Amino acid sequence: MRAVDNEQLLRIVCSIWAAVALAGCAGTSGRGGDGGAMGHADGGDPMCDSQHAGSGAYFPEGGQTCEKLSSYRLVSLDDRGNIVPNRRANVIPYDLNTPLFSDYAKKTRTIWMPEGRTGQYNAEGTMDLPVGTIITKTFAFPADIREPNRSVDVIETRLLIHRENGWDALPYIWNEEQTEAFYAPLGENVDVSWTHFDGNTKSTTYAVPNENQCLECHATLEESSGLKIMRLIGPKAKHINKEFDYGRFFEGEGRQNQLVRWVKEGYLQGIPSDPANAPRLPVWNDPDDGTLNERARAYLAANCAHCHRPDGTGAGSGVLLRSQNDTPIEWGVCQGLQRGTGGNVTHNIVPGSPDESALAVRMDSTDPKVMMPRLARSVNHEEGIQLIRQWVEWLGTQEAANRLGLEPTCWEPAQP
Amino acid sequence: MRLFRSVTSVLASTAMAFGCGGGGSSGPKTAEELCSGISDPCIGIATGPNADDGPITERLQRAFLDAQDMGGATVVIGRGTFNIGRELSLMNVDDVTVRGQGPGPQVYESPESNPPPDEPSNGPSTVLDFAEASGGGGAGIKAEGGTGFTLENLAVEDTDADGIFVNSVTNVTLRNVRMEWTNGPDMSNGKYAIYPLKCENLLVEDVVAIGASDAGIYVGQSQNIVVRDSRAEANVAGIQIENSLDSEVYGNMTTGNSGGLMIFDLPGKEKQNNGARHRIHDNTVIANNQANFAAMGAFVNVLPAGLGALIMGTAGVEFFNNEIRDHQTGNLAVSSFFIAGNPTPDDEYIPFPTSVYVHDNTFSGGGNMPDSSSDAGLALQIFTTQALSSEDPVPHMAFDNVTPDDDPFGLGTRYMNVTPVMGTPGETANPLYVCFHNNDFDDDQPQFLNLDAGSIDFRDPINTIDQANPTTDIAPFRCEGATQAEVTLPMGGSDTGG
Repeated sequence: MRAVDNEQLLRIVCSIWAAVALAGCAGTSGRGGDGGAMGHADGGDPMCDSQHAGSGAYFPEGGQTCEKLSSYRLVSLDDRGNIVPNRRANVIPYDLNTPLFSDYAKKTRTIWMPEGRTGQYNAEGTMDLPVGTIITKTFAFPADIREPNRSVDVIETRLLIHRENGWDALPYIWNEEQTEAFYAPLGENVDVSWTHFDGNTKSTTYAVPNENQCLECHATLEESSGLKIMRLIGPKAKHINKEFDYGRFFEGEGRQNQLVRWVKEGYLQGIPSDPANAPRLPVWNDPDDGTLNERARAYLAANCAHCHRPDGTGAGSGVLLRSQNDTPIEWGVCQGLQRGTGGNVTHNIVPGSPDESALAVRMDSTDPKVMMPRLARSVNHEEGIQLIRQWVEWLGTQEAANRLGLEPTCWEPAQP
Repeated sequence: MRLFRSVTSVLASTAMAFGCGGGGSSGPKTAEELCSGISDPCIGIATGPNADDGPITERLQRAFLDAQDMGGATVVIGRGTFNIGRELSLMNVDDVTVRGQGPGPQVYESPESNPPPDEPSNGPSTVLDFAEASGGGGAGIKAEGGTGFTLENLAVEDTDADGIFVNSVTNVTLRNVRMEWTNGPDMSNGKYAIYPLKCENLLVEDVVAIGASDAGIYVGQSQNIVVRDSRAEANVAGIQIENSLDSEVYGNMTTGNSGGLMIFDLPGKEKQNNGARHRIHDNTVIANNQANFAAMGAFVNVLPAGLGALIMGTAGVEFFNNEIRDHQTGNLAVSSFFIAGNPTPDDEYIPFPTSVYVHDNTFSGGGNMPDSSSDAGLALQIFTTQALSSEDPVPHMAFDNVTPDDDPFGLGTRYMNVTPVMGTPGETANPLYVCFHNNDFDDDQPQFLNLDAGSIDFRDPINTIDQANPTTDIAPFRCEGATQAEVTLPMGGSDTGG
């Protein structure tokens, strides 16, 4: 359900126009035209505006940022608001075994590379994807979350683009008519509502991140330069090693392992001959796909490890949640907090006691001082909270103690 | 179904606000006037009647995104008080200055405040009010990564989370800035008002920090630091230098906080296990007796309210020419981490204070009502009773005297192998080189307490307290200790400020 609102469209156009206006104020700002990776949309790039191009997608070799998403010719929307990858350009959709929760948004990812370039398989970290690679990630809210493909309001599409000088994250916000998305480096707060699993209306203020906020999750500090350098999070073997139903997007196609498909498209080389030998995380909410411990750790890896890694902003807490951090002390079991939660919680994880475990308490909060993750969430992920609470309960069992070598309870020093 | 919230302007005023339009010499300044005399590149954020209906949040964020990688850019914000809709962020700064027209007067004044804040000037101010902000992050102004960041002449108020957060930036100046939670002490306030973390070369001067539920001016895991001429009031900790190297803290006023001035290292930190070399002098620390309002789990939650200064678990502190008075728990404590509990495992952390030289300070009043709701406060009370009597106040200067030979948690002397970082030894080689020399006492209250807490098992204090032998004898610690060097910074001082 949508009312066309010309005023809102005008506002979006205005904010972009204002950006262009500022760029033109060279006498005041003294800003040099650097064609910068983090600058304004390059309204003057004729390639961005070209209507004559063929079927190929467009990677701006010169580092330009197009004002319109359509200029890249990667994705469009069908009349129900579902992403249509540009099949003729070999833009292919993919998804992850266990994704990051983002306010119940429906997320659609695609990957594309210019012809003749290919990525290198990496079993542990992120795939080594070549310059020219463009990944899109689209965030949308179906009118009814139980029918995710029927009537979808598409909010934003983020481009992760591998330029000569590194990766860039470019947010684009879709107009109300859903005909175009415009470059929006400032981000935006958008009120959204949908019919939830229980049939009730759920609503929130969804925050499209600004470009700096993209980097808060997507960058790590490089010691030598003192700069935050962007990197990818999702395209790791363990996340994308799964079957995907390409028939949902491309008529006549069927299910196929994503690693195999990427090789077939020329996007990847060097995968194990049998994908079963590649790492794989379980699907967090599929009890047939892993034990409670495995699924909870997969959820934490997908939702927390982009910061809770040794070189990440969450390392100061002492809590490390990558899938390769496999000792309970790294997860924070019986470890004291560096920051309070506002309640009577003093430990990151107290086995058997989710209410006393900051890990669970922070997931169950939308207070910016307390909540985790700090960005990309304004409502609680009830199903994720339930999983992690069950896992913390399980950590207090004899079975967990035997499996993980845990003490039955946290040792508490008496106070002076 | 959706609704865009925060963009409210029309095109004309937006374009004008960015300074493409004309000037006018009286009244609020145009963008060009704001940038007058400032070398390029400069971005003026005009805020007069012709511009103040613009979407200030978007204009500021746009200016920050533009400025951060221009190289040497200045963003000048016009006068006024503005509702900011969202956290403002900079990343990978390349010599960025963000400047307002003045911080405006302090809003909240603690009933404990003594002396009161300076009379406000009637000059213009730039106040960024975050009370209505939403959508991602929750801090006020955040800068992360890069080299060269100056924030000056403005105020940030009422953020959900931290106030001004500068993370991993080299060459940082925070000058003539006020960050305040205007409701005063409240556990639901953000944790840190002025919050530089992992910075190198840091100048904090003429800053006012009010109402933080953790520390007002917090410097963590940083190196080469000057904090001067600033005021911290009604926070849990007023000024806190934590796990940092080479700090000089002087000319500051802390009053009405739960604790006035904290120099300490905590275990389990990512960047610096142990701080060192602190020159703390000419500060005024008065009546920091605010009830502790930190959340549980925050380290400062365990500190007793009414503590003037704390030097804990760090190395090389010269603490001199400070005036410290009227703190109900005590005016100065020098201690190991153990007084606050058992450190989380961190094999490189040294929990003892080493090479601490406390000299030429003035102490008076206080010690009369130790905060026994805190274990550390209770300990000070019990040890004072044991060394003196239950009638006596906690002495002005207290030292726990736990050494690497002790085993206060009965864990098998985990720290026996730790070699404390020593400064130049003083005359008397007490084990940790902690020296008290030539301090002034403006009253007849007891001056010194050696808790001698090393032989206590803190897991069973009641039954082991008799093993301690607290005493008021200062003789082993009466010595001239190591001095610390002045800190010099590459950014220059306040003469460069506006």
